[in-house]
Amino acid sequence: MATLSSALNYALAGLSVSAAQSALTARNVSSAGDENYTRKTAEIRTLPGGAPAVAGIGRSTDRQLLDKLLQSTSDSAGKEVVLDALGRMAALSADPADDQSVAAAIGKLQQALRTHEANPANLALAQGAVTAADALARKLNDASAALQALRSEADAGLAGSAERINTLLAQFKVANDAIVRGQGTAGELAESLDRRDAILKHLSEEIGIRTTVRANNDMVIHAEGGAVLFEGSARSVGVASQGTLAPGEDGGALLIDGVAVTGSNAPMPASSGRAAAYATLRDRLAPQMSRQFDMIAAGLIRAFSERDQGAPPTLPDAEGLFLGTGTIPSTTAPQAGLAGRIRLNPLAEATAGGTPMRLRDGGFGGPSFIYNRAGLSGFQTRIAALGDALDQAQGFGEAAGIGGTVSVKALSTQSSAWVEGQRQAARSALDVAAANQTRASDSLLQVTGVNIDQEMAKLLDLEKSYQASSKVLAIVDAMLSTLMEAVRS
Amino acid sequence: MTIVGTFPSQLFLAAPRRAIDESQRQLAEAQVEATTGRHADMGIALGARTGSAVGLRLDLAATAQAKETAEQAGVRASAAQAALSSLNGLAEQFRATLSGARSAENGRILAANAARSALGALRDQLSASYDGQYIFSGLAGDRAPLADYGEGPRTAVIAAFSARFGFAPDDPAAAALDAAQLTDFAETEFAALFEDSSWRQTWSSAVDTSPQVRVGGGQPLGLSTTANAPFARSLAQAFSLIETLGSGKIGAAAFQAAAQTALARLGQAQSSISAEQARIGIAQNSLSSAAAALDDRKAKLETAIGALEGVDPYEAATRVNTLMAQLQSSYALTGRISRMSLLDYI
Repeated sequence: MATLSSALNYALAGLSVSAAQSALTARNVSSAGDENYTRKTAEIRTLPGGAPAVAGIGRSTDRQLLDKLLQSTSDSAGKEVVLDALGRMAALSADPADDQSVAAAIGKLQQALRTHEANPANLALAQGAVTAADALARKLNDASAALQALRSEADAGLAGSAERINTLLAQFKVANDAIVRGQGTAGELAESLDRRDAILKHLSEEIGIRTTVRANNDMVIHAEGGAVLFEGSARSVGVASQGTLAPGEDGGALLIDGVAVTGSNAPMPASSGRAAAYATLRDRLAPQMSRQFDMIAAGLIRAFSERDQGAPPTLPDAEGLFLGTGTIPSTTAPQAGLAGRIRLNPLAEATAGGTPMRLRDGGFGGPSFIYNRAGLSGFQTRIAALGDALDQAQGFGEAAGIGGTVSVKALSTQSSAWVEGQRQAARSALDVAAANQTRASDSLLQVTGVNIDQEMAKLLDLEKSYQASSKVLAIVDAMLSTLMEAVRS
Repeated sequence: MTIVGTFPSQLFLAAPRRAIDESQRQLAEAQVEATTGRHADMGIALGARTGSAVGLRLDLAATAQAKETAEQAGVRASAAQAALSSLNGLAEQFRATLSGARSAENGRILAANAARSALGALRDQLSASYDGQYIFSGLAGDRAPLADYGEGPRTAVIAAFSARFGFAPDDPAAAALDAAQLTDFAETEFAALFEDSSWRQTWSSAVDTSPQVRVGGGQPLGLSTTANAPFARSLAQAFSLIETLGSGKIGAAAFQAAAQTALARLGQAQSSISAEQARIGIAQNSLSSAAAALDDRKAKLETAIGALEGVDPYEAATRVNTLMAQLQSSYALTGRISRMSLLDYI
């Protein structure tokens, strides 16, 4: 039977529900700017006997949208790393107008040779050609060193990424354990779930992940490709140690629980996220461009090499204006790092006891290699041939993305084309990935986000019901007083 | 896009914020493009076509260099032409002197003196140089093409005379020589001194091949001749014959015969000079058409580079205006939305 005291109980329950809801609303409003916060709602249940009570706290979220966000985050984080690196690689060949590319240096050398050809006896012109050759060799050295530095940075980036994955997985374990054990109040549990999702977002920047949820809300994380990153406990992530990062050799692979996930032989390859991007950069993009410069260096050494001028010739060809490893390199498979070793032959430098006139006369390889046998001051044949050699087709390998039967000069322009082509493609891929990420993030935010206006409106509502419950209390109190008065009198 | 329940406050300003971000980035690009007339980020705009742009610029630079080569070669060729013209004048002048002097009293001495100075002038003209190299020395541009007449050639001529007749030209016995004997000497023993091997030994240090010019690595052009060409030998022959015999003791009739031979050689020299001048002239002609072709090529390359790398600056300027208008409306929108809140009404 309903009594005045039960009315009092209902009113009190109403007050406590309103207070709990107000607290949640305040929490929602205070976290409206946190993109990892999910909007919380009180689940109200009617207790046996009819009084309302807060039975639980609801989180509005959407697993599918979150998965989509995680994927697009990995995708765009990786592509950002690649585009940034390609930008630095492209700076090596620079804007066509800047005259700073290897191609421009080859062009300058050729012009210097043509000018020298018009007046072979002029020492200053010979010196000009030698200086241009020196600048070209140094440009190749610098480019090679810059690419090697880029590889080292990518290697460090990969190690850093692995470390960050480990840290995040450790944090993840704390949040996941709390969830599985159901520790704390309903509010604290919801916070743990938020934190767990937030960690996933950070993790997905480093490596592509897939998540599955098991009983007790326990989450398992797989890396892209299938390697387990977290299942009850975190798996250790590291980089296989490789000693020094030698030119032409791949660096250590990213290991998850001892299994390689990057590199050509990875059984379970990961392709998105920063870690994979660093590995691609270190083992594929930078080495590919290095190989291109090695090919250019090999082509130059070959173009300037000397032939035995005896009749019949007996000696093998010798290195001329440019020195590499002491032998004439193969242009199809040049030695890795050749571009870093190519240098001007000191025999062409007056300061090193040589003479630039060797350009005209030949003889870098010894007396048998002297072209200007008659010692004519106006001997043009050799200089003309050297200038032409830069335009003569040689057979280059095609493994580095450029090559074929082309001249060294054409090969160098191909290299510029290659890197800018890659950069253009990377830029549009990143644009797409970034747009996808924005869309996924917006979609998820529309589910999880807080609208302050709405919360305020709800607060007005709660204020009303709080006032009503308070009023009920006052009225019941008045009624009870009236009853007491009646009994007393 | 799924809209579930609420629209989060965070997204209120997201759209204008992103629009501002994007507009500002594009504005920076459009400003660069409007002022430079080129793509702001050449690599991104051209992609793989960057290779063509680099190649075209290499060609353009090569064209400028070739033009320079052509101009210098032109100067060198003009110097050769000028020297040849002077030599032609020298031959003409000597012909006049010799024609007048051969029948005059003391004419021989006059002619011999004129021949001596003509030999000096011949050496001077053939020693014309360009950029530190003797033009008429062929590829051996560091050596003067012609030996000093007094230092070898004269001795060789006198030795040839003595070998034929048994006495030197200034021996009194020389007066007995008749015209036929002298003509025969001039056409055999004396002429042999100007044949290839003795010419190179006593007179000339030049080599036959003269430097060639390739404009931009194209067809080689020969723009000069050497001191081994027939004209130089004929002039040397005419001058040295008169110098040696005129200063000697030969009779008037014999000298007449020598003068006759010398005049014939002068004629040969002049026709050889005009042949060389014509040949060099043709090469100069090819050179100037090559230079004109280079100008043409340069213009075409510049057009091609412009087409590849350039943007329409007017279009870019219009883009700047549009973007600025967009930015302004984004700013206005941001301001208004941020002022809008339920909090102001409760």
